[in-house]
Amino acid sequence: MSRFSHLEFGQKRRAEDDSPSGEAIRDEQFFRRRAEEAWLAGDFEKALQLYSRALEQQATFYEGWFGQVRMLIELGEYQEAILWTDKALELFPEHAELLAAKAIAWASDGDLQKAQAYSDNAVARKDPSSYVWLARARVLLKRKSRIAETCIRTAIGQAGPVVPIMRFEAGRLLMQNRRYAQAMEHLAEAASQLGGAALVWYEYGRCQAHLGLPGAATAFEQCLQLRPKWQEAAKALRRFRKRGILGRLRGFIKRALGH
Amino acid sequence: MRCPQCGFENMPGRQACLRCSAVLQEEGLDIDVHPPRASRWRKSLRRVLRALGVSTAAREFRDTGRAAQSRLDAWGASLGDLFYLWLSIIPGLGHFARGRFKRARWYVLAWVVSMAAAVFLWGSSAGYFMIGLCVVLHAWIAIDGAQLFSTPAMLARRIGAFLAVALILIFVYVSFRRVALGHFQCGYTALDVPWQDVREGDVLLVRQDLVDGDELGRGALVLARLYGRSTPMVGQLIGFPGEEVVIREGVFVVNGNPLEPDQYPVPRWLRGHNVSMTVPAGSRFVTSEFNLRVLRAQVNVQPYIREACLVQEEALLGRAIMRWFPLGRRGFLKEMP
Repeated sequence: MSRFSHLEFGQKRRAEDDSPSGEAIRDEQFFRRRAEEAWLAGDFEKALQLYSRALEQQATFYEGWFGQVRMLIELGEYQEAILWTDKALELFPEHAELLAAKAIAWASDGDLQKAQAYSDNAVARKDPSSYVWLARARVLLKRKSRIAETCIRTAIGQAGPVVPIMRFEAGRLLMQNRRYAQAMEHLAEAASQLGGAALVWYEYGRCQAHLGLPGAATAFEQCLQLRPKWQEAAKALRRFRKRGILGRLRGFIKRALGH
Repeated sequence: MRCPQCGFENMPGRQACLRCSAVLQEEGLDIDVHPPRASRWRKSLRRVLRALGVSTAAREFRDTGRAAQSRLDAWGASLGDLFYLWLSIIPGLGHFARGRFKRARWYVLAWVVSMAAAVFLWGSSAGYFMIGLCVVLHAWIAIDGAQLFSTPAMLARRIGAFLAVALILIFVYVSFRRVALGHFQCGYTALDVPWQDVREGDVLLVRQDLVDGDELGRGALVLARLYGRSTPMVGQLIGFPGEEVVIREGVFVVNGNPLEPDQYPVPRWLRGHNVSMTVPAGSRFVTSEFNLRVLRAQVNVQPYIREACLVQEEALLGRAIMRWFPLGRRGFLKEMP
């Protein structure tokens, strides 16, 4: 089961989610959906809390554990993410995505050997998901391997209904590795399909800002419209508007070099 | 039991789903679902360490330590318990080789603390007590690390082994002290030297390698075998060979130049006596307080002054560099101008 299989992109809420009185049933799926929304709004702390709420409803809810690990990684708490993945793996030993998440945590924490080992293990499992391939791409990009792009293509090819999310993740990944031009391609596509996600606009804006494109301001403004009190986005917008000659020159050079 | 993930009906008592391996929740199963969190400062610190590459280096160091531990373990398995006893010459290494990290950590901590206290209090009874404690602790760590005679029935043998190891360790500690701290010694002083804040009864730290002519200037506090003393004492160097030393009106006068009484005080037993002598070659004029009963000269001090104050070069053992005790006044001595 893919972690995004329950995501809804603009569809109406399912009728079976509502109780007879019309209120949403507050079960683990409810909290998981709220957590995914919080993640796409860039509020990782809230998303983590909501995943915990989902697990309070059902302790063996896989998406809850996996979501917590992802959010810990988003929050930069890699050691905690590794610890929590170990705990999740005790409950779900066969899930390759957890191994992939652990690979990402190790890679982000600077231990590429362990990251590679966990990624190898995850990919060796039966039918690795798109997340597993993307995690492999992350490890390989850190190791400056050329196969990373193939992994990204495989991840997007396997994504099925969650292609926009995968494109967004791929774009973020490429941006983190300073491949802004390639990242732009994916992020633009993701922004067109996930127009209601503040995080997507924020990352799209950041990528454009790195390249010195004027569209960055529009992307940040769009992000702030969706989540008005997001300080990081407001700060990024201010910084972009105040950038000096050097910043503009840097963007120009990056564009010229096709980064 | 029905699997919450895939709905597969499993046999009762199974802990994981046969089809999808998901954990089957038993009634009353209590799982903590709140992940551990890192504080803000810890996250910032980790970020800095990652940027500096320190965390990677630390990890490599830890991995190297684990590899070393497994190698030691392999050797130990082939050599037996005595191998761990030998390893314990460094406290805690035997435990480390056996993979008993927690115990090793506590033992090493206790040993380091008592050793630090012993060095800090060195020269006093408390210091000697702490060194004794270090030896006992070290011997115990070695016996425990080697897991020698660990059953209660072997208690007598264990005590015997402990005493044997303690004896060996006393020899090791004494040798180590000679090698590592051979130049340092503590000495009592009976003098009051106000300028250097040295008072009667203070214990001074002495460097034994500073006995050359260049190192011992006038006014230096020196450890020496003084007349009538069974143990070396700290005295003050006043005159050099060929110089004429005179005590006039309670003040030292060397070659006609009076010395500052704050810096070069005249000992009580010499006050009121007329002293005038030329320091012979191979000797130094060193003053200290003397108990006149020791000199057997309560009435007539004059004949003993020469013997008490003129010290042969060989009898000079070192130069005091620090006030060591009392702790409240611990500090380096000022150089005489």
